[in-house]
Amino acid sequence: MSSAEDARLAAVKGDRKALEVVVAELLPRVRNLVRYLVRGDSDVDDIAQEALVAIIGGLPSHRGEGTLTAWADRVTARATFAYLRRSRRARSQVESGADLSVVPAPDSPPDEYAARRHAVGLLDHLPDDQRHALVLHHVVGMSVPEIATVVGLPFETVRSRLRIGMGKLRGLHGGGE
Amino acid sequence: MNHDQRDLDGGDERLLDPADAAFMAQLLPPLDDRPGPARRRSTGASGAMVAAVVDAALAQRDAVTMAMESPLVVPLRSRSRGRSAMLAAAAVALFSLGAGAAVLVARVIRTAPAQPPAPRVNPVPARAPAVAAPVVEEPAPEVVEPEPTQPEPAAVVPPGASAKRHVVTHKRHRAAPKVVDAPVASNWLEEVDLASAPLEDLLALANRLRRGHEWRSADEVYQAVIDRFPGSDAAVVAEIASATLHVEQLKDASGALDGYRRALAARPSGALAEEARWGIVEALRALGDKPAEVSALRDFLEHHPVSALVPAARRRTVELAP
Repeated sequence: MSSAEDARLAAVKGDRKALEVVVAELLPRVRNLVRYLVRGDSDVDDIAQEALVAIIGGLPSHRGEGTLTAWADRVTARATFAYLRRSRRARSQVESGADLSVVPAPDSPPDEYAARRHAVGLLDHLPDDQRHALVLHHVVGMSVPEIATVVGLPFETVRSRLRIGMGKLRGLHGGGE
Repeated sequence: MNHDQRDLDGGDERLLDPADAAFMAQLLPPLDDRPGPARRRSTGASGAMVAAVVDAALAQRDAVTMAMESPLVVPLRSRSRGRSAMLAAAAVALFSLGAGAAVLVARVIRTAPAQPPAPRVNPVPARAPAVAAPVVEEPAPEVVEPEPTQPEPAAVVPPGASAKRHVVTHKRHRAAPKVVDAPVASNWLEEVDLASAPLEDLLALANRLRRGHEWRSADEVYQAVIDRFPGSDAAVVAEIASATLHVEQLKDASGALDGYRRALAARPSGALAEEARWGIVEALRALGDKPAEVSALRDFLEHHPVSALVPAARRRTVELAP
């Protein structure tokens, strides 16, 4: 049995250290996915924590079909959508002012972190429906049918959102260059 | 999973031409656990968040267990459906409380070594809407998504707390109809006696108020924590949380600066000090006081040379250099 599976089983039993290992392993990925899905940074940690609590709560139901991270991605996406439905704050989440953490030094090479922050900055300008479709498809790797299931919409609607969203993203990206 | 050209529906149709695929692969690479796009956090902050999540999850599990064992939630034999609903409500109420407190502490402390307060395992205050219990089957959205319910009386105020010194009325939000930008219906009212409510109730309330964008009420709750638990870690946490509200939401950078400085005076070293010093930097930036911001950045770098925020501090210092 793999050490990951051992850790999962111990976590299911409520072993605190095992839970900490699982949460620590998933935390960066969960936070990243939440940030891809929501505008601004202010709610990311709140949502990530809700998602992680849901993931731990659901560990007993994860029977090993697919990887733990892929399953956790889906739980995270659902928890994020639930949070957004509750809070209805999409428009107001856009933060003003530069992010201190990504202000580039004049002579620093472009780094991955800054590139990712730039990407979500572009995503922040898209409508939520297009953004969510793009993230689930390109970042999480879901197929259109999977996305349609998660968001509860017809395939064609999802495809349309992907196309329109990508077009807008291209425009935004080109406009910034 | 790759994100090159991908079947749209399992058939032959392709969504992306090669140029589009390359563009999307570069802009939106597959999800991983490397830094970004979520903001960087310090190791200490991540550790505090992990502890908070585990605390909340264990509290949730205990709550469900106790709810199933407690005679308080065993209804009449003929009302099995009511029992399920009651168990679910109790579980979700405690889930909300636990997660709420944990979220607050991790959001605010970020680097705090102290354990967040565990929620009281008391399923009686069924403040949450009745939804499916969170630990069964797959944790689908319904686990965390409230359904519309009728207003219920709050059961938060402890017995004998009739002589309230200070009461905050908290509007609890319901799921809104699916209309973009529609105002959220607020038909839940609950009262928490700030003079006598347990610390974890106060923190949970403040967290819910923040989620409801009721910034001033949240700040009032933080002030109650500061007043009632002077000198404690919780008071310093509340001081920083209040200051963060002032700088980010209340457009009161000056007040925020005072709060961060008080927190720093109370905890001049350690994880909370890192948070307070960074808060001072941000407050000074909001005030437009560049010389003071440079000085604060220098102070931050001097005291927290291994902080995850060091690169950002250095970049900002360079940016501010004449």
